[in-house]
Amino acid sequence: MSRHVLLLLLLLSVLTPEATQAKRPLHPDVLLRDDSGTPVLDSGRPVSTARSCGECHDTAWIATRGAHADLGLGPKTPLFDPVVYAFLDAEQSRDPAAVQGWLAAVDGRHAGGAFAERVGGELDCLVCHLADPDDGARRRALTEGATEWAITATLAQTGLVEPDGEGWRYRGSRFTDEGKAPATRLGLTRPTDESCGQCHGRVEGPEHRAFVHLPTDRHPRTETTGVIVSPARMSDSAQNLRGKTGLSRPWDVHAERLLGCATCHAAPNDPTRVAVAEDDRPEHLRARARSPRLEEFLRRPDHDFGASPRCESCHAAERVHEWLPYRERHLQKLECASCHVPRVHGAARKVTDWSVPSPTGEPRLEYRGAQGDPGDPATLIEGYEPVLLPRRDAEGRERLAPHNLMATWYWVDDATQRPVPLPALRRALYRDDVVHPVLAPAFDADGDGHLQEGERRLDTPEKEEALRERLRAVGVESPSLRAELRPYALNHGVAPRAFSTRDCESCHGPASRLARVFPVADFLPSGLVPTLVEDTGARLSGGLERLEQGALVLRPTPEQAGVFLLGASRRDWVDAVNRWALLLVISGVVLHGGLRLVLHSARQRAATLARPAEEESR
Amino acid sequence: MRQSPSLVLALVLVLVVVLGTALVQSQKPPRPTVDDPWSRMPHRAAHFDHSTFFADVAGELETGPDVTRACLRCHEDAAHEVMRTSHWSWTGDHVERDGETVAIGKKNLLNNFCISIESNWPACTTCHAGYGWRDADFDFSDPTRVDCLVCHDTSGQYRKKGGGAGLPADDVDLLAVARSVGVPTRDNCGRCHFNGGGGNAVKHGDLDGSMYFPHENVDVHMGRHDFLCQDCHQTRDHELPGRSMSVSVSNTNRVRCTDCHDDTPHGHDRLDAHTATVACQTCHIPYMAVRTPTKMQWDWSKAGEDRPDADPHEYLKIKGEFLYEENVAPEYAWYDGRSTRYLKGDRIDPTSVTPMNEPIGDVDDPDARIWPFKVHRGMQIYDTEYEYLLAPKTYGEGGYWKDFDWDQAARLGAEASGLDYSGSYGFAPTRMSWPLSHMVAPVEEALQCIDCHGPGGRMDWQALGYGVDPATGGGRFLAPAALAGSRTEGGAR
Repeated sequence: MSRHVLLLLLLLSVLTPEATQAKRPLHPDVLLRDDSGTPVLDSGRPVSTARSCGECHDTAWIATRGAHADLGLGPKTPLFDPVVYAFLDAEQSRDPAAVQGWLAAVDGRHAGGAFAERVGGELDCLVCHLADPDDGARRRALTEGATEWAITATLAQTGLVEPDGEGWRYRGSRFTDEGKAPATRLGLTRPTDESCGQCHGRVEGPEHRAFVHLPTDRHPRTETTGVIVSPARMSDSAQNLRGKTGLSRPWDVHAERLLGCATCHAAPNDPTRVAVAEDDRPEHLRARARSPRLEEFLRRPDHDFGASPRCESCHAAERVHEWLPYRERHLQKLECASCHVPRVHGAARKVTDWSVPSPTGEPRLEYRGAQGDPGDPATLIEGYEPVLLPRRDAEGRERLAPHNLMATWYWVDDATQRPVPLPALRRALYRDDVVHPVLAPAFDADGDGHLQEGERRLDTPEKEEALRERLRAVGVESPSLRAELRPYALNHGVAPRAFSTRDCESCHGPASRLARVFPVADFLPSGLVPTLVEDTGARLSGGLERLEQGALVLRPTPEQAGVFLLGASRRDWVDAVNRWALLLVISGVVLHGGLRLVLHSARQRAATLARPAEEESR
Repeated sequence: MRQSPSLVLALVLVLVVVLGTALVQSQKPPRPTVDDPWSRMPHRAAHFDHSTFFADVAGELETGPDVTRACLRCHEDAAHEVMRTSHWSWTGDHVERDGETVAIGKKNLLNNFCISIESNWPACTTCHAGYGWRDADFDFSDPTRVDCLVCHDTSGQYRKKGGGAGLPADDVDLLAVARSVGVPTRDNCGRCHFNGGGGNAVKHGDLDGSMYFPHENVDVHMGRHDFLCQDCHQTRDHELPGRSMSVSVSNTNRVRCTDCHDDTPHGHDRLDAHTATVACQTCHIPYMAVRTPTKMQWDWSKAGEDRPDADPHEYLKIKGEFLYEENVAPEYAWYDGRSTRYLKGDRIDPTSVTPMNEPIGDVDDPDARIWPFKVHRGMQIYDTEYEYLLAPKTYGEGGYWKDFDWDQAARLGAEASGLDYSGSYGFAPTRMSWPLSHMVAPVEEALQCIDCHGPGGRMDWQALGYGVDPATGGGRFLAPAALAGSRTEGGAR
């Protein structure tokens, strides 16, 4: 009896108005509907966000905004992600099989919509807006062909659905009496950093300080830059970082200062932001009072987050750099990140070599910033200093900005201008996971039938030619090896002031950052030197140079970066003028001094000659 | 006299250069002020070697007072200086009670650890800077009872007898100790202050044995810079500044961080703005009891049970149940330096938690800052009829620790403390707050924005009187008109 009373008291305490009010999200309960508009509790069919969310929000319009759906795919701009070897062009995007293959290649890292709708992959609002989305279940649905169930699978953590064969079943008892999904279970909200981290990069909240990060293409942004977004201190992490005890800085100062991804990558028509924006307002006004009405925004929240947010939107850089000589010049030539992301304390991909993948389809990888295999938690992570490359921003200004460079080698069919599909490449290389007999003489040095890491290198013309032949044999019409260099801008992982570059010598000295050699690759398949991909806004600030050992480096110079760097740059004519000026000054001083000496002597002599005469006249 | 034109030209040029330089300098922004706490540090007194002293009384130093008499031959005023301090009187502040002014202090207040020294003098006064305080009749006017050695022994041999009313242990070589005297070390202060509550780390939360030779992560002042206690508690004529909220209520005679540091030392507008609202300690003491667990709860009502297998840090028959915690995040409250105090005889509501002391201040009090506290929760004996807390006799003949008889302990304690006892007792919950000022962490470990602000932060902003997190809603000093701008200016004040 007393147990029942206790339970009742507990229940009452949970259901007090304060408790329920504190936990209740602002978003109301949602009637989940299928693509015909029928409540899913009645039909048992997959959830349609267009029908469910679309009841209040203009999902059709939202799907057309931003790049989360189409990822920028256009008639002349195919999608190619060298990290995971995923390729899709406009023509392929009309082929459901190609789209399904692409979804599998990117491991379901796609919010749905646009071309994904060809395989039932509707734009998934829930993956970004649920408090606790089940991204794993959603990805499995997308990659394993149950694409139409992907949105429903996202709800797995809410307890509203449970797996049922290849699909999902709704747990009606957990819906409201009106058949709606309770707001308390959904927790629909503005996307958190963790929401974005599901696809973009490694994100850790303040509650997870002692984390270990190992390389994975699940976090492509971290993979290509080494940057982890977390408010925690680096010294609190479980990473084996060089100089860790001194790294009392947060992984990302903005995260530590309570800013989330959505703070900078915000909806352009968010009224709370528009109201305080100072741009585009008459001079006589301190603030712009007009802003989109809340209901307008909620109906059509603009999901175009593509425009790169500018540091200057929030920071008044000119006000806080009084100490900096030639302040305007610095701000004109350098993006903020050049000094405020002085070092990345993580490992980043340097090379992704798809020329001879493993039997399981893995590329040969090289990382920068790790003293050994970054996949081993015991490996010392040294981090790396990004290379400063001139980058043109949306306003046409070219400024130096920090980047990582990743070199990629991969086979292309010149006939289609598409990368050779990975299955074809594997078929060409292997038969039952053993090196193909035709290739064995060239590749299999130890004759064990398996290609070790050292054997999976295109380091002889024989290997290249043999593989080319095999590619033709599996149907690649005109195989050729392509090498490209991709710059990955470092805009995150910003350091606090004390950890930013303040030392003039780091740029204005003989060992200037702008002239420091940046390793590109330790080995070049077929000796092919990669070229910088276009349309990234960045350009190389120096020449690529092969070292004697075969490694490739970028040797930047300030001049090629478009700057004359006091203390580091030289101009021959300036040196010549200075030499002549010095010579002239010395000559002038000698001449002047000499003349004065001569004159002085002459006056002395004249005075000596004149003295007897004067005495006589006295 | 006619000046040559070249000389005039040279003078004009020099003038232009000088004026130009002055003009450029005047337009440069002022250099930021530099926080230079070292410039405010006291110079420590040099050690004066006493090792050849006391030859004439070498055979006569048999008791503590013998040593004191020997000291006073040269340091004539020393005992009287000590006798003016709370180290001697165990009182300090005065409060109004029923129209009378009452001196309060450790001497006559109740707490929720060992509760009261009254009736338990010989045990509690082991930490008195004097000799022989074994009952209410101790002679506070006798200078020979001042214990010089407890603060000035540098031999490490001196110690007081447990339950000996402050007398030296029998085996102490008083001559050797007397000849070792010098400037107090952390050991002298720590013997009592690190062991408050009857054992290492029990009471304070920010003072324990890990501070004898602390790592800088425990206390940056002592660990990194080798501070002694008196480097902050700068002593003059034996009067030490500093006060404990457990035994006082006013805001005078304090040691403040700003005695050495600037009040806006961060060189960062937003952080410096915090100092109007947040005590330095709040960010710079992120955790208490860093290396050694401190007592957080004490339930006297469970005492008296036979639990032979119990961990002594969880249960003792003589004391009841405890909860110790290590590296604990403090609790936070507004505090303007003053506090309330439960006084003997104050009525309580036994169904709710009785605060033994509460910091005064709230969000509207401009003098109040958000402070970190150790909050010790107790369950202690009270008179169910008179509804006030009792001061039980625990130590010695008839004490609870000997006879395990609460009724007898309550009666004897009531007699000694001047309270009436109805004959019926119970146990009531209490709470005692201990503001934290020691165990200052290195700056690299100070709290960051995210530790307090944002979801999951350690501050309960609504309980502190804010509508919403001030990082987003604006600080307490922002005028309503300024609130609109606060979204762009930010700042939590």
